[in-house]
Amino acid sequence: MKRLIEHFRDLYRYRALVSALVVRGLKARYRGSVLGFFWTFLNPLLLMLVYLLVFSTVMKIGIKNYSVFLFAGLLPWTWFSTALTDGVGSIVNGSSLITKVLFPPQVLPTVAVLVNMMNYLFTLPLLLLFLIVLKMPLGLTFFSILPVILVQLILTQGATLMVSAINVYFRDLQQIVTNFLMLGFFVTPILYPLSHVPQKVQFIFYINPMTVLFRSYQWIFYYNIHPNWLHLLYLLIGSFVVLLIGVYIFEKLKEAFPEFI
Amino acid sequence: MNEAVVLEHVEKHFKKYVLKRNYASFKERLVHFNWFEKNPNKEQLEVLHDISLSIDKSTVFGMIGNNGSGKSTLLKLIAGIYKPDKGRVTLNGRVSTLIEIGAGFHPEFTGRENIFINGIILGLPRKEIKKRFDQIVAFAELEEFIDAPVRTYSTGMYMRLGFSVAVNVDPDILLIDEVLAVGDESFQKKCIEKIMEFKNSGKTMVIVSHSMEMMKRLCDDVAWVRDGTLVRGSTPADTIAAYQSANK
Repeated sequence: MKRLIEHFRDLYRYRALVSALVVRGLKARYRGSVLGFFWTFLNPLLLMLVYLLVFSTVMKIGIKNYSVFLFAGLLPWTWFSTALTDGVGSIVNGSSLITKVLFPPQVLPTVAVLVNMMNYLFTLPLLLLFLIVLKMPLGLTFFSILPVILVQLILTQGATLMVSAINVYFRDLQQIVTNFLMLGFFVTPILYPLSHVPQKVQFIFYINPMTVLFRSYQWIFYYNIHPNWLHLLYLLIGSFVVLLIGVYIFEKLKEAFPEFI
Repeated sequence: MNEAVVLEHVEKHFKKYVLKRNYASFKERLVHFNWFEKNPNKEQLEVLHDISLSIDKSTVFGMIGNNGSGKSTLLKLIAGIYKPDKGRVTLNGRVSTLIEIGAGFHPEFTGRENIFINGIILGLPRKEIKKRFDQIVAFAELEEFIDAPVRTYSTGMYMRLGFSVAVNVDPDILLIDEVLAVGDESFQKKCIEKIMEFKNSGKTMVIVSHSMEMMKRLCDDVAWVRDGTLVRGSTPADTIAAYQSANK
C-alpha cells in the first residue's frame, strides 16, 4: 500500500518531466517530415478510408454513415494499441536514461500512454467534422465521452505498466502484445456493430471488456445516446483492478531494471 | 555533518546470466538444459566486496582502476541507480549524474530543446532552466548552433552541452564518469576551472578518469578500485603511483 502511494506520488513529483517527454513524444513523431503535425489527422483519415473501401464498397456492410461509425471506434483503438506497443518496449528502449540517471521509471510507460491519449484528443475534431458534414446530430451526449476516456486511461495505464515491466525480463512479450492486439482489434466491435455478431458467439464479446468501452464510443458519436452507465461502472472497477495489478507488478520488478537492460 | 557521501560495507553482485546476456532461447533450453543440476547461470558474480568509504563535503574524490574493476558500478550505487545487495549508501544533498554525456538527448531535437529536457531530467524546474539558459549555452560555446538538431553536433559539441547542463543544474554532489577525456585542451581547462569553482562553493564531486594527470591536478582524495575493493595509499599521489606501477 505504501509503495502504491509512492508510485503515484513519484509520478506527481516528476510531472514536469512527464509533460516535457509527452510534448517531445508528440513532436518527435513527425519531426523532419514535410507534412509534420498534419499527419496526426492524415493517418487516421487514410486508415479509415481503407476500411471504408473494404467494408462498404467490397463487403457491403450496409451501415449508413459508416465512416462515422468507423471513426468512433478506430480512433480510441489507435490510442489503446499504440500506447501498448510503444509502452511495452518503453523501459527497455529507455535504457540510456534508466541506467544513467535516477528517476522513477514509471515515467516512461506513462509517457507512452499520455502521448497517445493526446494524439487521440487531437483527432477528435476530425470526427466532429465528419458529423457536421454528414449532418448527424450531436448534443450534450458529447460530454459523456469524458468518463469513457477516463476509464480507457486507467485501463490502458494499468496494462501498459504491466507489459513494460515484464518485457524487461521476457522480451518475447513485445511480439506477443503485437499479435494479441491484432486479435483484439477483430474480436472487439470496432469495424462492425455488436448486432452483426451471430448470437452463438456473442458471449465472447461480452467477456471482452473492450466491448463495453468501444460500444460506449459508438453510442455517443454514432447513435447520439449516452453509454450504459452501469456497464461502464463495472468496467471502471475492472480497470482499477488492472491498474492496481499493473502498479504491483511494476513495483515488484522495477528495482532490478538498471541491471537487466 | 561534514560527509557528503557515506558507504558502509557495501556489496554488489550481478547474476551471471545477466552479465553474459545469454538468456537461453527456447530451443537452447530444450537441447542443453541440464535437468538434474543447478543452473550454473544462477551463480553470482561479486562486483564490489565490502566497500566502506566516506567523502567529505567540498572535496573532489577520484576513482581510478582498470576497466571492469567496478568503478562505474560504484558510481551508480552512489547515484542510487543500483541498490546495494548489502550495506548502506547515505547521501547528503542533491545529486546530479554525468555518467554518460547527454544521457537522454534526443538527436532530432535542437540543442535548445535538449537543454530543457535534460535539465528537467536532472531535476531542475523549467523556470530555473530558463534563468540559466544563457549561462549553459555560453559555457558550452554553442551560441551559433543552439537551434540546430543535436544529431548534427560533433562529439565535442555534444559533450560540451552535456557537461554544461550537468554543472549548471547546481547539484550538491556531482558524479562524473569518464567524460572529461573527450574535449579539446581549452574546454578541458574550462572544465577544470568549473570543477574548482564548484569545490570552493562547498560542493562535492566524484570523478572517474583514466587521465592520471587530471586526477593529480583535481583530486583531494583518490581511491584505486581493484577487483571490487578499494586500495588507498597515504596520499593521492601515492595511490596513483601504486596503480601506475601495478600496470607496468
